[in-house]
Amino acid sequence: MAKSDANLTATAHLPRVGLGERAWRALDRRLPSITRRHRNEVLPIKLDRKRIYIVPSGFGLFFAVMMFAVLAGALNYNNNGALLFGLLPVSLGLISMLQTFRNLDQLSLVQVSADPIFAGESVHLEWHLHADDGRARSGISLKYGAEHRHHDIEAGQTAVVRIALPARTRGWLVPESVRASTVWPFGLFFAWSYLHSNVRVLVYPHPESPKVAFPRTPDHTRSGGADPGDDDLRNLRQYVPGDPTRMIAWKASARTGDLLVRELEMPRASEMVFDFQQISGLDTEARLSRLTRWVIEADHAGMSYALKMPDATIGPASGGGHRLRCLTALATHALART
Amino acid sequence: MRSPALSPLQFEWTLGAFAATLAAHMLWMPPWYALLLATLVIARWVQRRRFARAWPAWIKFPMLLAVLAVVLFEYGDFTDRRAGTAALAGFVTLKLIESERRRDGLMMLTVCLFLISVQFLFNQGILISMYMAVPTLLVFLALNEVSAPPGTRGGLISRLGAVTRELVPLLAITLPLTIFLFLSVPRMSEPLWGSPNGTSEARTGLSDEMSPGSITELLADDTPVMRVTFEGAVPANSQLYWRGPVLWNFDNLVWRSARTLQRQRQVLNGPQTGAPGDLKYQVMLEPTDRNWLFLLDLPTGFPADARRLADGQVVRSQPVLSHYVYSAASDLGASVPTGPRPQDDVIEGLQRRHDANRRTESMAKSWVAETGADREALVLRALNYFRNESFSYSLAPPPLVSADRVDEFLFDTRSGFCEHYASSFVILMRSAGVPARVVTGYQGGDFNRVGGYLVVRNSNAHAWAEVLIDGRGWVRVDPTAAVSPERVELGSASSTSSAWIDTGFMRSLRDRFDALQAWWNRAMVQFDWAQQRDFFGDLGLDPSDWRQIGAWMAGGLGVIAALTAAWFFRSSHRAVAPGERAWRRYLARMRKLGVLRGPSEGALDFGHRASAQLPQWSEMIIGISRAYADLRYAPPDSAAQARLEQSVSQFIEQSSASKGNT
Repeated sequence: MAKSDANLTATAHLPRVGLGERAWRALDRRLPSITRRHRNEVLPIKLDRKRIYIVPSGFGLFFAVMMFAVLAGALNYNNNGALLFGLLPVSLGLISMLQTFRNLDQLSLVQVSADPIFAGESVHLEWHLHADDGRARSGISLKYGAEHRHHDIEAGQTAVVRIALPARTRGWLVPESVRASTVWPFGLFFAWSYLHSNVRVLVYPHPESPKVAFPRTPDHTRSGGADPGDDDLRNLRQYVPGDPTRMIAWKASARTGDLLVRELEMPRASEMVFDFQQISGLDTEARLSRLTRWVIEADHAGMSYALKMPDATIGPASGGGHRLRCLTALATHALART
Repeated sequence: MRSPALSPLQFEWTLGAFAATLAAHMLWMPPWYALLLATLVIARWVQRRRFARAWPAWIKFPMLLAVLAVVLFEYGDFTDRRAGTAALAGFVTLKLIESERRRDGLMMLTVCLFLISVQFLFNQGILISMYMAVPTLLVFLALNEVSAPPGTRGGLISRLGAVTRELVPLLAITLPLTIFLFLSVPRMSEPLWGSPNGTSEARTGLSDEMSPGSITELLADDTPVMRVTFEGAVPANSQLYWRGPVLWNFDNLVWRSARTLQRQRQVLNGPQTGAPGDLKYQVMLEPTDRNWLFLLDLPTGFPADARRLADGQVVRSQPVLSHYVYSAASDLGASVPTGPRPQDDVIEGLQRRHDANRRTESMAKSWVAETGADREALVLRALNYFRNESFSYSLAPPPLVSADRVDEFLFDTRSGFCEHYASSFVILMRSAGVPARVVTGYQGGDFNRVGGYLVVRNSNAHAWAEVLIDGRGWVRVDPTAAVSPERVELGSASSTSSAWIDTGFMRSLRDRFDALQAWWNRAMVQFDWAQQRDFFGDLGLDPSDWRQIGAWMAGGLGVIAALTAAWFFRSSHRAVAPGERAWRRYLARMRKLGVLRGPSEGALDFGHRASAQLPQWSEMIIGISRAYADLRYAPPDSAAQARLEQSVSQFIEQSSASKGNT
């Protein structure tokens, strides 16, 4: 079942240019670069002659027709000057085919990166193209969907191509293949290659908005969000880098001259437990959305919390690592394994 | 998708390449048309600098009409190659004023390449040919700039240093490829369609008529007509009479040949090699659009496609449209034999209008009464008349206005040049009953010491006379020489105003340049079907066997492709990602230590597993895995590669040292 699904997605990517399904499948098998079948490759991906395709551009065809007319006329009239100055552009044009190819050859995609984001935001994908063979590259175009970016890459340097795309749903966002192409130096030939790395970006569920109050936990003694009095010096400690600024006790700090932060009492009994099962009356996505909001808020407040999912419980704990684990669990909850 | 707009830079490159192309064509265009196009280009340049917008239709359309009107006015229709090219240049100029998008620019640049080639229909001189490399180069630089995607530069100019490594091989392959193709592309023995010459008026040169002033024009024109290499010494200047059209008929204003008659009366078909004692020489004739060949009197050797007419002129079956080389021989002492029916020569050689030039006629009659009908005596009498009376040689004589021009010249103005002397001498002889005719052609030539050849220019144009002497045939008489002997002994320059150019340094410079031009013509311009046959023959190929020629082409292209591939594969050393080499060395070392990395095992996982297996190196192994992961996956860090390489070297060193110990 899973296998046929994969097949389905593969053909869904195929461009439709009037060829029959079977012809496309055959092409897909024989010339995977054309049909973008190179999938999920391990970085770095290096372009080489097995995957770079090159054809005359539309302008190249026009150029060819024009030069054919020049050569035919020059030969017919036995005009050597015209012939020489017809053959010179033809030779230059032919050799430029190699240059076009070399402009892509040995270029590598060394990294694809993106910061994790929440559904509904834009993911800023970055493709790092590296020219590591000591040659500079000119006019390298990267196409993602309908987006085009163009870059020159100096020898040994890395160009970072940024494209923002909307992330609509939570889960793994698998970037489509990008097409690297060039027409350098004269626009007569078009060389391209499809790059499809195995990089995927995790999209966290959209945090519910507006904010909903934290759930009441059974053994909950005091409100977690209660503001401890500034004067209560027992709850203050020295600031250490990494403490949230909102936890700084400004008044006490001003009095003592040291930067002090409020230390929350975190008895186990007062830990927050965000339980997937406990939220009623909502569908799965809405529950995930609410849990996400809670995790963000709790982390923001520097609280300790636990996330109880149907298949696992994370925490209780606090801090960035815990937040990441919780959000990852929420993002990947009940996703079909791919 | 709409083609992107041309950036100011891209536009100016396009405009520059087109302007350089147009400049070459302006040399032959009517000056005011050239001025119109130049004005449009400059106006467009100024306008585009201020705002990037095409000109509105109410400007463009009248401009289009203006271009069409000028071309029609100047040439009558569009079939002439000049008219066609002028119109094309005009259209491309109009295209420039509406070029705003990349596709416009690309199209213009391609048409520029077409115009560059078309230029050679008008001029194939060495200077203009070298110049044409400039617009060609500019077109490609402009293509490079215009085809660059938005936000990038073409690089051939802006990042020249960075892309030089790519460009040197490009040129190093392009030039041999061009030359190979140039030599090998099969030339056609005759055109498949049309003929490249539009109008013969385009060429200056000798005509088959002699009207007042027709020769003066030529005398001011220093364009070479032909270059002659002699086997042996160059004959004296007074023997260098290059025979052109023979003129029989005079209507008191214009001398004309009896062309149709003479064609039928050809007497000698080529090829002829001449007698052993004859003067042998080789002529490279510039294109004349005429089918005349110029040989010294009396032509005895000429090529297969030529023949000698009854009046001694040698003509070719086809007009000389491009440079033409022929071997020739002449018997310098011989006079021209009469035609197959000598009585026709006498009849035609005596015809004149009896209602004109009465004073000339009566003087001739009086000479006959004094000396009798001895033709040679009459010729001497006439020459003495020119010599002793107050005749002078002048290129700017007082105009002849009366109906009796010969009378007016012989008795009133007495100032003129070859055209006047030859014309009046022949009429004088005919009036005296001596058959005579005018011969036009070239006299003399400048010896080019650099090239070792004699160059004959339009300014060497000359007209002389021939009289029919019984028993000898047509004998040359040059009445101009009687008046101005130096004209014939020293060459035309001594009697014209351009004498300063023949002195010292200028002369040597001119000789050098002419020799270069001659070499260019021989090696390049007139490399035709026949020369290509010789070239293939020299290579040991049979030019008529298309398989051999095909094999030669395929072989040559194969060699060039192989050289290209050799360069290509040598210079693109299979480079790897930064640090990859060190990582591979590390993996190889680990393999030796018995830890194999799984095909899909990540660097960190492998590190953990390996450190478990080799606990004594655990710290280093984890360090290397970290460094590799950092280099590959962390944000770019310039020190990461060095860190990885250093720790790998360290590990290999230490692990092998300890192995040696155990």
